[in-house]
Amino acid sequence: MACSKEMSELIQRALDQEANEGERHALMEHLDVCSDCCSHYNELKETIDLLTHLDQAPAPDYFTQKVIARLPDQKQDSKVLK
Amino acid sequence: MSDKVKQLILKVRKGDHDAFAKIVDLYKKPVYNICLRMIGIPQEAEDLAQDTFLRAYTNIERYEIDKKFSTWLYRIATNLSIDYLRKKKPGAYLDAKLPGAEDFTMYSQLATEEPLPEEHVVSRETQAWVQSEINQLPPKYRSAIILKYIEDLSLKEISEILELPVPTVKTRIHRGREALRKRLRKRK
Repeated sequence: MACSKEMSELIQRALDQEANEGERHALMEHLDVCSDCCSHYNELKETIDLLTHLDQAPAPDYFTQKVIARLPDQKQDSKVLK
Repeated sequence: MSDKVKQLILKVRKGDHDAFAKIVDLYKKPVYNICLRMIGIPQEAEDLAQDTFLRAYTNIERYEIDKKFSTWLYRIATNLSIDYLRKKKPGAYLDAKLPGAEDFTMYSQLATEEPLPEEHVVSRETQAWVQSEINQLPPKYRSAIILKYIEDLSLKEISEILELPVPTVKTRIHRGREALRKRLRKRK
């Protein structure tokens, strides 16, 4: 990255939605003239986009039954109380 | 925490397996997905997810009932996954250039086990590729990235799960996504 550390921190803050309007504006102006920072920003955005679009897998079949089968026996005292 | 979960936990504390089955049903999907994304191997992830619930059951007295149950549960899942990575795969994530062939088979398999939703935007191949890159991240970055982007949790909640200050969580997310960016760019 050819640009300053401040600029890459600003990129991170912008991606975390933490940059204020002035900072965002300054960043966008910089991205227009700096192709390095511009691709850095775009690649990070794309990375985040890929991560947030990963599918959630369903839980495996019979998962709950398998867990319950592995539990230690019902506590003695609760049986006595019934 | 919702009253419903609270009531169930109180029953679990008396040894009620039916109440615990309801808890498992409520949280099995996120717990399994955390384990799956942390270690990338479906069968091992299922074992770890089961272990997470077993550990929650046997330690249920230690859970503080006024706190959010999912935070405590996800902490168990994350810690078990990190322990697994430390014990079973020493150094695997440190090697940036693992042979691609066997990985690809493994992740193709992972991807085909997932159903294809109607509004699918990222192809299975891309998903498998992203997962294989997640697997190359050091576990401490991996857990922060997974909780943030896959489970969509707040920084505060992630900091409670990982028992780290919010700024540290933020740094790990930044470094994790930066490392992923570099890896994803390489394969384009």
